[in-house]
Amino acid sequence: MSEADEIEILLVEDNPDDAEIALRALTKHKIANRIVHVRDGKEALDFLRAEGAYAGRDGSPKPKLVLLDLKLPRIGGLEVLKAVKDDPELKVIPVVILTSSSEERDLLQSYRLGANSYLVKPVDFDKFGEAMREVGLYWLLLNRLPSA
Amino acid sequence: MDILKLEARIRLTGHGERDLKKERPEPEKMIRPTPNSIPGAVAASGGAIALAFGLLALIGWATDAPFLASLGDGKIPMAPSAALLFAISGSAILIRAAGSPSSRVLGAARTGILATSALALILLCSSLLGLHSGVESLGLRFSRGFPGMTLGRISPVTSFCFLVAASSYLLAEPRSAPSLRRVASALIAAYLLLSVCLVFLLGYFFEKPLLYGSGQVPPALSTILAFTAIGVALAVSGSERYEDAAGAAEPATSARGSYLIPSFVLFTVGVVTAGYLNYLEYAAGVRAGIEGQLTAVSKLKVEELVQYRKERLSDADMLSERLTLSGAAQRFFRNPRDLEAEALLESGLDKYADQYQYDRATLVDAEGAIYISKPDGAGPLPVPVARAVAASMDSGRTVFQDFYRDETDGKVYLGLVIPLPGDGRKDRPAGAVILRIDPTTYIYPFIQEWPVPSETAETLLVRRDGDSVLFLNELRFRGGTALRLRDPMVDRDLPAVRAVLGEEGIIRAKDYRGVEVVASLRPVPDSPWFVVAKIDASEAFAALGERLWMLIILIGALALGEAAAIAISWRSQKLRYYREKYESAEALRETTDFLENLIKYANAPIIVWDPDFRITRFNHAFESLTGLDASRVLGGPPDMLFPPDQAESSLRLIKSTGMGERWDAVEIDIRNVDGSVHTVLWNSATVLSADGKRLVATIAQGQDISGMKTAEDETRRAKEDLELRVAERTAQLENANREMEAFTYSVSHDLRAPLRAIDGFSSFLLEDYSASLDSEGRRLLGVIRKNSQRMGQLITDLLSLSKVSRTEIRSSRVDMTALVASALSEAAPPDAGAFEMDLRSLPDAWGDPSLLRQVWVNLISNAFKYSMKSPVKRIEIGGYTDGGDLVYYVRDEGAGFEPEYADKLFTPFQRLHKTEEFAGNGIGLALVQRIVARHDGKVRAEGRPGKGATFYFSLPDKEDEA
Repeated sequence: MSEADEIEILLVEDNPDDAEIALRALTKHKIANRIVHVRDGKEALDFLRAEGAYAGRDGSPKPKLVLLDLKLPRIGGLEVLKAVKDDPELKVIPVVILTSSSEERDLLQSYRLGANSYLVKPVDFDKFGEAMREVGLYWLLLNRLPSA
Repeated sequence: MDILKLEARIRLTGHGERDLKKERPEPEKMIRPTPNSIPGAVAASGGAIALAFGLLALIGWATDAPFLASLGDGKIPMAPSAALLFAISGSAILIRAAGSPSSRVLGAARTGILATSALALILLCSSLLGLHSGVESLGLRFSRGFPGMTLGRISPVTSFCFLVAASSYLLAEPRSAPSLRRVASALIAAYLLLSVCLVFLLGYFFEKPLLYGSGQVPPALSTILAFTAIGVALAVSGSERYEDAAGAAEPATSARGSYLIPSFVLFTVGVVTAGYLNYLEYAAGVRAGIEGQLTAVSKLKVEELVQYRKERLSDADMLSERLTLSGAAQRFFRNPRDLEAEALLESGLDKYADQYQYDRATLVDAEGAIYISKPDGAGPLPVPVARAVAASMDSGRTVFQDFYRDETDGKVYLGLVIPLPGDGRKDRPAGAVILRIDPTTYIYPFIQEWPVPSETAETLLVRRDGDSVLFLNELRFRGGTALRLRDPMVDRDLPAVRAVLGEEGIIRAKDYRGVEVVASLRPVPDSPWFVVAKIDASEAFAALGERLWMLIILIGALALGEAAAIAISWRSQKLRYYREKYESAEALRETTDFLENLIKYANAPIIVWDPDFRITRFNHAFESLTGLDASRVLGGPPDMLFPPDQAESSLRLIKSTGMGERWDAVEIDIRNVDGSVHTVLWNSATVLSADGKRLVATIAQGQDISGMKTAEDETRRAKEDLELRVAERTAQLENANREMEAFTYSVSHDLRAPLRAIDGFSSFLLEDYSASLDSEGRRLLGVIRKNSQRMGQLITDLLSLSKVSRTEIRSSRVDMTALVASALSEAAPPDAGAFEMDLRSLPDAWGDPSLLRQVWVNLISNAFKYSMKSPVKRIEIGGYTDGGDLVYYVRDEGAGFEPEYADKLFTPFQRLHKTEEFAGNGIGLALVQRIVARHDGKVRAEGRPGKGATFYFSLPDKEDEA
């Protein structure tokens, strides 16, 4: 079934520990079946565009949600965000910023560039998990996306 | 120094008026009167009135309505030619006086006036020469004539007046440079016209219209009124021109002159005319009186004489009857020796002789022979008597013997010859009785007497005697005239002659003395006598002479008084004028002195230069500024005062004052002979001539600001320095800020991540290996987790704290009540319902809403938190104004705190309670304090252990600054 191949969430996170925590939180609450984890901005874009390392990937359907950390090596999170939201094909994908920065500056910039939501990673894991559950619930189940 | 010329006005204007032109006053008003002035209005109305009269009269003539032209019955109507001339001249005057007519219209008016004068001249000449043409009436006539008046003719007076009016108009024509004499002549002409009008008006007023009934045509009343209107108009406008023309010469007196003297003249003319007319009336009255008197006298005398003669004749009849009856006379005639008859006759005659009427009674026979004459001693019959006897015998009737002279005694007698009838009544009389009358007994005295004492009055009794007049009584002024004086009637003007020639009534003539007399002539009916009652004209009209003198003296006195009054007022005005001039000259001198001293000794350097930029004044202060003596500088140009490199620009500035530019604060350097240069700040003033048209001098006053200048420079430099430093500091600060931000940024990111990992993996451990862990193991992990969470919170708190310090406050008006409500919803714990909330109304504040909200959140959550364990769960929130501050508070009845540690409350991370009791890491209040401090406010706390706490924060009321 293609459903099983559906990529539901693209997690863009460079810190492996943070990534593990996030994945754990997501899977614990059975939010999504298929989660792809990339470790920097370039990989993220390559994935989304089915280029580079991911050339040949079946580009569609696109992921239902992108969880994007801001602090990434090489291409930074905001850059990725801008690239995604500027791309007519990709801009329909909801991008939720998931970052430890609570700086107003980052908030403003993210939304300006078209972020769909902005979350600050709490230190408390329980809270983190709770947040992930709710994120998943909202963006994957409640939120409607165009079919293409 | 000519005082009059130096009435210069010094203008030290406070505000710059750069244009000289603007400061010049209005030029002298033009000679032409403005339409809005009263004289103009008066002159215009005068012209309009004359025009109206003329048109009215013309309409009257044309429509056969005479009253329009004459203003009433019995008065002469205005001649049509005069009416036309009035229409023309009235319009001309109206045009000239009302409004500002174009030169073309004015020229037309002038032409009209010239035509008027030409026509008037022609008419005047023809009137004086006695020629009258149809032009005068313009061919118009009335349907009914007026008795005694020739209608439609123009009076020479009218023509003359038109000439005068025209000349006044033409002489007073507005010109650019009217000569005083011309204008004065115009004025004189106008007043001449007015004088003529006044004379005739008075005539009409006294009901003795002048020239009526004389050879010349009198001017109509309407004509005179129209001329009066014209005269007033010309006089008023002439006065104005006169004032304007003479104003320059003698401003104080000319105005009076143009009105006073002519008014005086007019008044005198009027008074003289009125006096003369009054005198005429009086004279007429006197004359009437005299004539009345004379007539009365003559009438009386005549009646008396008539009566006398009647009586005498009746006496004669009575006598004739008596003697006849007695027959004695006849007996005596027949027999003269009839003693009885003789005695009878003698007694009878005696009786008559005794009567006072008669002085002799004589009996004569028909031949005239005297038989008896009583009183005795008669002479022969005088010739006239004998003649009368003869006449009586012939006619058989009594003869009244008129005055005769008896040759024997030379006296004058009259007589009655009474015939005695003969035997038969129809026969010739037998004789006559002659009764002689001595006129001196009655007649002469009677004639002589005069009812009122008079010096020259007398009555004459005369009769015609052949070709001459015989004076029958003694004249008053000539003796021996009775029956002796005889006038040959050559001089037919003699009153006696005229009486005898049948003239009756009042005459004026020269009498027998050649003296002018007024006489009443009257014949005595049934007699040859004529009565002349006369009185010398000089006596008769003596009173008139007196009256005339009285009037003359009175008028003279009036005129003198007026003249004196005018002269006095003139003089006093002149005096006042000159005194004012003197006083103003004095005042000027004082002012000049004052100014001289002011300039000389002023502290500030003062300089004055003339329009050629030569220095005319140079005061002491300037001398010391330049080290130059005034004598070296005066009269020369100001070049030497400036440092050489600035001379040109400074000179240019000076020259600009010549255009009327005023310096308000101009810096010009002045050089001292010792080489130093002072910077001086100048302001200037312009002095204009009296008429404000020319620049006379420029004054400049300076203020040595050299010291100030250096101070200024230093200040400027210091300021620049300061600004530089401020900029540096700001840059530094901004730098620091930026660094701080970068730091916080990395903190927020980089510090949190490991914490997250610690917490996360600890929980994984707990979850995944809970089976392998005992309770202690789990507890230990729990501690790890707890601490990492705590650290995360600390980081968050630190970040907020620092953000507060960095964030820009966006102040606006804050509705604190709403803010509190919003904060409550965030800060209230789940069991907030158990709390009693006392929310008071809060005054609005001025500040950053989000930061202030944070304050409320922190304070309120503290209140809840620390009340958790207390029995009283009550929170009060309120606010009030205290002076210039807004104070807000949160009060709880919770755990409170020990007051000694109150100041520590607001220190970051300081806690007064144990963590086990109350959660929290001590950052809340620090945040509150920092936020409030950034709002320039203060925080304060009150509390006691277990008794709750009240936290206050005050914000300055910046409402006014909003």
